Amino acid sequence: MSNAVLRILDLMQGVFRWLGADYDILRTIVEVKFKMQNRRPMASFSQYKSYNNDQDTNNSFWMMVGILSIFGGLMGISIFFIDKPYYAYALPFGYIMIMSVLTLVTDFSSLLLDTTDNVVLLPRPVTGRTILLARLVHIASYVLILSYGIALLPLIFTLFKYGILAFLAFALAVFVLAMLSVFFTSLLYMLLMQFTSEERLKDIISYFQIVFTLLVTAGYQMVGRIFTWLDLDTTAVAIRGWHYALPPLWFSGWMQFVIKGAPSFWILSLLSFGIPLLAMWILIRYLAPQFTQKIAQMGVGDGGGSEKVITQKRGGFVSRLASLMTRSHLEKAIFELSWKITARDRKFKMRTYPTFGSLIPLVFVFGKELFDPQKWSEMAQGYLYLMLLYMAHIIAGTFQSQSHFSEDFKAAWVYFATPTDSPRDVVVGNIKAILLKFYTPFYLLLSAFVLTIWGIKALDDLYLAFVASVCLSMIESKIGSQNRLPFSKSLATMKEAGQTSQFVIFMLLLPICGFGHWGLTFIPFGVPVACVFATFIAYVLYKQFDKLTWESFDL
Amino acid sequence: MAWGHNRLAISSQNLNEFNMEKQPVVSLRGLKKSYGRDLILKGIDLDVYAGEIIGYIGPNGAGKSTTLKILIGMLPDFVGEAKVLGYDIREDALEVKKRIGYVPENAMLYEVLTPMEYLLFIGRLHKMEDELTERRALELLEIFGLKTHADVRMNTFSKGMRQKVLLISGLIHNPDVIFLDEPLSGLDANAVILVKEVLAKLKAAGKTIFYSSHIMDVVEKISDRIVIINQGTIIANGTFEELKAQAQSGSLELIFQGLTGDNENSHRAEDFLQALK
Repeated sequence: MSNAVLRILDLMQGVFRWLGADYDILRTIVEVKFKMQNRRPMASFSQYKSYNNDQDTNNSFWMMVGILSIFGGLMGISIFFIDKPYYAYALPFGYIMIMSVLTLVTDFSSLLLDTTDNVVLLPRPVTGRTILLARLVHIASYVLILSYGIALLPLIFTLFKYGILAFLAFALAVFVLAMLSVFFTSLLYMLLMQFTSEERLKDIISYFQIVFTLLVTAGYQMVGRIFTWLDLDTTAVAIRGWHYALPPLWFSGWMQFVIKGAPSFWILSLLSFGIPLLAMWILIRYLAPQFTQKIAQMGVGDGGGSEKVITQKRGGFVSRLASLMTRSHLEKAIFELSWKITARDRKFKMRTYPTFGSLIPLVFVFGKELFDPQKWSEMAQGYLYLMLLYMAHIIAGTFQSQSHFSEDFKAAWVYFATPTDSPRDVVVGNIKAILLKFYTPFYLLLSAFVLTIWGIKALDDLYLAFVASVCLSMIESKIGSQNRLPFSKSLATMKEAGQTSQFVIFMLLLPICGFGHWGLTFIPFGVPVACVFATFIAYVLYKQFDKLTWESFDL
Repeated sequence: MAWGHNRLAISSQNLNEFNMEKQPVVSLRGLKKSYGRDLILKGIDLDVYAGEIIGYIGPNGAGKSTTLKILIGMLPDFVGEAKVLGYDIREDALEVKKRIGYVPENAMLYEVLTPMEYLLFIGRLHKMEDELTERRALELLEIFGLKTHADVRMNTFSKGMRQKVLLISGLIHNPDVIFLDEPLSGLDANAVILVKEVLAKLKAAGKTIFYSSHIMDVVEKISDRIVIINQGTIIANGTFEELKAQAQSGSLELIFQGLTGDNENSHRAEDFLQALK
C-alpha cells in the first residue's frame, strides 16, 4: 500500500520540482520514512500492541489504520439511523477530527522530532527545502491515510444512503478536515516548543498519550450518551450558537446543506472551507518556516547545554517515608528505587496511568444521582460504595504487575550481584512502595468521598476493603509474579507471562472478596470481626515473604 | 605502522591540485560557535592539506564534535570562515557535502532498517546507481564481517556493528575528504586494526582524513599531524615528533595530559584510594 502512495507522488512530481525539491531524493526519503513508520511501534496504540511481535512487524501503521477504520464504521452507523444529516454526521466528523489530532500529537514526535534525521540527512548533499518538503509530504500522506481510513465505512454508508453527490461532498470534507487537524497539531507543537525544551516536550507528549488512552477508554462509554445531549427529539434541525465553535458541526452542516439543500446552513458550510483554507495559509506562511528552524536546531548540539539538567535533592520526604515503612537497609533502598523509577520512567507512566481511565465507568454505576446532592440520602441506604472500593484494587494490581517490567531490565543484575541472603527485602520493598504511592492516596480520596455520603458508619468497611486489597497485592506477588524482581523483565516478556494470574485475581478473587464483604454486612458485627481476621491474614501473608530464597528467581 | 612518520615520502605521491597551489583542503579562520550563552569554540584557525591524516584530540566537551559538525555543514550558524575543498561552507554546503564523508560518533542511524536498506538509502541521497551501491555495500560489509547481517534489522546490532555500518555509510560514495568522529568507539581490537589499515590505504589513495579520537596510541601512530583542542581553542598543532620535542614527553598521553589537564592525576588517584578508607 505504501507503493500506492509513492505512485501518486510520482504523478505529482512536477509540482515538487516546481516547489524547488529534488524529486528523486524526496521520493527516496519518503519511501524510507514509510518503511520505518511501518516497523515502528505506534505510540498511540502502545497499550494494545504485543511487545513480542513488533520486533518484526512490517505493517504496524496499516494495522492501526485498520483498527481505526473499524471504530470509524461504528461511529458512522448513525448515518443510517438518523435522518437528519446535521446530527448524523456530527459523530463521524468529530471522531475523525479527534482521532487524527490525537494520533498526530502522539506520533508527531516520532514523525517530526526525530533527531536521527539531522544526523543522517544533514551531512548528505540534500537541500533543506527537499527535506522540508519530504517531511510535509510524509505528514500529509500520514494524516490523509488516517482520515480516509476512519472515514472509509461512513463514506460507503453515505454512498448507499444519499448517493454519489453526497459521497463526493463527504470525501472533500474529510480532506479539508485533515488539513485542519494538521494545523491544530502544528499549532499545539509550536506553542509547546516555544515554551519548553526538547526533553520536556517528550514528557508533555507522553502526558498527551496518557490523556489519549484515557479518552479512548472513556470515550466508548460516552458515545451512547452523546445523542441524548444533541436533543434529537425535536422535529426541526436547529443550529445553536455554540455549534459555530465546533468544527465537526461545520462539516455536518455542510453535509446537511448538500444532502437536504438546506440554505440556512450556508454559514456553517462557508466556515468548513474558509477556516481550513485560512489555517493552511497561516501554516505555510508562518508556522512551517519557524517549525523547520526549530527542528533543525534540535539535537544538533552535542550536550552543549541544550538539554535541561535535572538535579534531584538527596534525602527528603521519600527517604524519611522509606525509613518509616521498612525494616532493613535493602528494603529501604528498593522502596526508594521503586518510588523514584515509577515517577521518572515515561514508559511506565504510559503503561499504568491510563488505568485510572478504566475506573471512569464507575461513575455510571452511580448514575445521575451522583451529581444531585438531594438524592445522596437515598444512596446512603445501600452498599454500592463497596463496589467502588473493590474496583480501586485494579489500580494497585495494575501498577504492581507493571512494576516488574522496564526497558532497563538488564540493570536488574545488581540484585544478584549484591550480597544479600534473602530476596524478601527486594520484593517487599517494591510492594510497599507501589501500594503507598499509587493505591493509598487514591484510596484515601475515595474514602473521603464515601465518608461524605455514607458517614462514619462506613469506616470499618473502608478498613476491611483496604486490608483485603493489600492481601490481594501480596497474593498477586506470590503466585502471579513468581520469579520476578522489580523492573527486571523486558517488555517483550510481558504478554506471555503473568497476565493470566492478574486476570484470575481481578475476575475471581476480587469479586469473591467484594461479595463476601457485602455478605458480611448482613451479619451483626460481621465486618468488625472480619477486620480483625483480615489483619491476621495480612500478617501471615507478610511473614510468608521471609521464606523466599534466591533459588526461586532466575536471572 | 611506521608510515605515519615518513610523511614526506607519502605526501609527495599524492600531489593533487590542492597542495600544488598550496591551497588547504580544509581551512578555518577565527571559527567561533556558541550554544545559547556558552561559547564552545573560541576562535579556531586551522589548515589541513590534501593527503593528510589529522588527529583531532581534546578532553570531553572541548569542542571536537562541534568543529566537525561545522565542517560538514550541519551547523550553519557559526562565526568566522570555514572552507572545505575551496567551497565556503555557508554558501556551498551542498557542494561540500557531495565530496565529503562523515561518520558521527553516537551510532545514530535508522535502526529499524537493515544495513543494506540503509546503505541503499544513503547511496540514493548521493545519486548513486542502486547496483553500484549494492555492490560496494556487499563488498564493504563482507570486509567488516557483516555480510551475513546484510539483511538483518539493525536494532539488534551491537554498538560496534552499528559503528561499522556507519563507517561504510560515510565512505560508500568514495569521498575526497573524510571526517570521522570517534570512529573506533565500540569496535573490537581486530576491527580497530582493520580501520587503521583502511585509513592508511585511504590516505595512500590521496584522501584527506580528519578525525577525532580519545585513543591516544592510535592517534599517535596514524596521524601525520596532531591538533589538540582544549576549552574551544587549539593549544597544540604539529607532528608527533614536534609535540614530543615541545613537551619533552615520551608519549602522546603524557603530552596530552601536560597540555590539557593538570599534573595532579597521581594525587587524585591517591585521594581516590583515601576516600575509600
